[in-house]
Amino acid sequence: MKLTYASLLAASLMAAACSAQKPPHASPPAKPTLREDWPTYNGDYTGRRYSSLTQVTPENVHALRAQWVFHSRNAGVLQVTPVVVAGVMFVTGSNDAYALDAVTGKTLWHHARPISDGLIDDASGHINRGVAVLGSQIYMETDNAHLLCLDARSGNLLWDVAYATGNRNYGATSAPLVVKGKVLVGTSGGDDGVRGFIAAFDAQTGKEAWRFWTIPAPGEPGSETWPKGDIYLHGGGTTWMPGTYDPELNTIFWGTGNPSPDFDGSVREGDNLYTNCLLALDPDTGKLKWHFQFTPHDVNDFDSTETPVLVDALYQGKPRKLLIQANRNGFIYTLDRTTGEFLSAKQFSLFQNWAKEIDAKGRPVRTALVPNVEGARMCPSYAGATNWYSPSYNERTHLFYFMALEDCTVFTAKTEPFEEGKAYYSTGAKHLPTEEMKKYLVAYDVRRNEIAWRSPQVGEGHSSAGVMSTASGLVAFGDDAQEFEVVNATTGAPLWHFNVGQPIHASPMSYAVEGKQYFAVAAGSDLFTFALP
Amino acid sequence: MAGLPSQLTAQEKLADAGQQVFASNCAGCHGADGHGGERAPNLATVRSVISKSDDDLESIVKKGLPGLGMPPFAYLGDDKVKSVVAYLRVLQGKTTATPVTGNSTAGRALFFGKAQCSNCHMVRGSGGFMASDLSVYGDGQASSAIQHAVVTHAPSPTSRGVKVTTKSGEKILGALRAEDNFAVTLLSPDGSFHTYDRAKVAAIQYTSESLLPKDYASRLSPTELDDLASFLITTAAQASATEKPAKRRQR
Repeated sequence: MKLTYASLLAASLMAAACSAQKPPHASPPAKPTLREDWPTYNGDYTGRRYSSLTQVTPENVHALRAQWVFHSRNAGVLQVTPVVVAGVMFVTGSNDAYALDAVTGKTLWHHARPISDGLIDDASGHINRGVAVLGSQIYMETDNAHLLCLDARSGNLLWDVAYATGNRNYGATSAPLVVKGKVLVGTSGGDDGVRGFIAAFDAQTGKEAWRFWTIPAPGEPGSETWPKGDIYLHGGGTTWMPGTYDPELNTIFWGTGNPSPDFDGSVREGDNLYTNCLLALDPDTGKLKWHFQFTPHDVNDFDSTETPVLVDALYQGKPRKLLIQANRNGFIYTLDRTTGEFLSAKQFSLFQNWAKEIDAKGRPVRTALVPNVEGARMCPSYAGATNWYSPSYNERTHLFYFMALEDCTVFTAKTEPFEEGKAYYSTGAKHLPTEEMKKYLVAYDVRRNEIAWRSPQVGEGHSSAGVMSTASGLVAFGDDAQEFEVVNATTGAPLWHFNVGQPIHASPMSYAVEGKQYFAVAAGSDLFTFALP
Repeated sequence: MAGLPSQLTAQEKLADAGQQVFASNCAGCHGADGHGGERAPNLATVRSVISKSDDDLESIVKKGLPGLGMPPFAYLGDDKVKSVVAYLRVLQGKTTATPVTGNSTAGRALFFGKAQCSNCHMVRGSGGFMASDLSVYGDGQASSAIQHAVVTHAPSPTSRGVKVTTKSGEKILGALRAEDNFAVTLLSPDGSFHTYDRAKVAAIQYTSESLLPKDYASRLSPTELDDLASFLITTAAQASATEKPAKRRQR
């Protein structure tokens, strides 16, 4: 073996004709410039999904063509954003992970793990949105909320930590986020009466470093916003999308989901902190620095888990560290991310009827409408005016792009008991047959605090595809008619499209290998890539 | 003396009782050996069934699968349901307790030391990445079979070696990870993947054997081989149900 090894090592020096892919070795994406690699779910820590690659331009994008297709045999609908490091692409579907050659699409390894039984609601869909990478290790969450550490070269399991116990309604769908040697994870189950948290694990050992509960226990700060008793154990506020991170401020930013039960507010009088919040946490300790609540005492399933995008821009003439989030409740918010100060909220949905306005402190002034036994038609719908599908901020156009959904539903509410093994909506939301859903690609002008343009999309409104943008002035997204599409980032004018033949429920990304730029997007149970000839 | 009724383990007794329950309630649809029939699927060798926990299987037996035509069997009572699942495990080959004849602690030391297995193979997160993960390799295997495999190191499709000779005469040896008519991709021992265009290299040779050494018969004593096999058997016995049926590196 020694001999074999010595000769193998000697022979492994790079050859001229070889497309060498260095060992996957990702340095943390501290510099907010995305180039060849796309090392995290959102690309980099800012959550902007802004690629600095410029090979594909508005002038040549018409020549973009399909490169290869990856088909996952044993997953349902892929909601993953692939991660690419040094020419190797990591994709997840259900509890399976794959490493693909990012040039050929061939499978390099496949880590197979059966889906879990006994899960409910979102977790029972076995959705998985992708991996995090650190050095030669990758991290993924499983449907039943285990954190797996895999060897990036072989797919071998290095360790497995069950991180959500005590309530079998927990599940996980997100991609983890690696910050300062720790792996940060959240859970699903916010419609099912779990108690939300963000937990951090040592990236090498898997040992838990800290855990921040999004629903305070009795006596803790914020507990005064809940009734007394054990409702906090079922209060929701889950953390089912990756957060963002500002190394300069040493702060992570994480959105939390709706309170539980969703529609029956009568059993949880008060603001219900820290549901529907943006949390600013210290990544070393998990201590809360500040919070901002978008929808206090939510009764419409307005999760605030949409990507909190970190933008450094002029705000009213002054350079400022901003945080921008297009929220499910129909407003796009700008906060000062150093202090948490509310700066503005602009309504982007064409129609909403739950709030009269957002006041000077950022608190909504509600209308009289609330879900009730008979049913109340409210807008946005339970699916939200936007949702988890990724937004993008482009530093060249100063526009913030995202997909919006115009929709209303009839919300009904009735008090029901919590029960493990059952969802905890406390009744539901129904579509009237007369109601038509409509999607829009929206561009929000950050400097002017106004909608720059709004591009209506053909389709039935059921897709959940996100957006990315490039330094060459392109916005790439999954439209609502089963097409991967590229438009002009300044005007929104369509430039190119490709029929992927199935609805898109994932957000696109871009990477490059040996000077060639690719776009990748998952659709149905397949992953497609595109490049110039 | 194993096999005498008085020496059956609790689990074996349970499975023994389950055999009768299976024959009268399940075999009609699933077949006497559990391999499936016209009316119901294979339960013995299908991964999605094997990987289910005992709890999950018991729950399915009790509640049935109404949408799929399987009736509920809760009326049999907890004991019979437990026993039938225990017998199903026998049909799946999951309970055959493999006798451990060697010293697995010594085997572990060999794996990570003198025998150098861990240079290429991994066990429960420790070891190399070039060859297969052996965490569950010993599952249901006899010590003699494992020893034979170690000594011969027979190649498997997933451990095929490939040697690429470039036009400048350089030779690169690695483990084959992907190929088609146009390119081959190999993993080299430094942990990097390399894709070669067939048209742009001088030669691509597949090694007829795996990349692994064949001198274990002389390098390790019979006792050491048995210790090594015992280590792999005891390691697999510690693995959870989710790990067992999974092939760690499928191409």
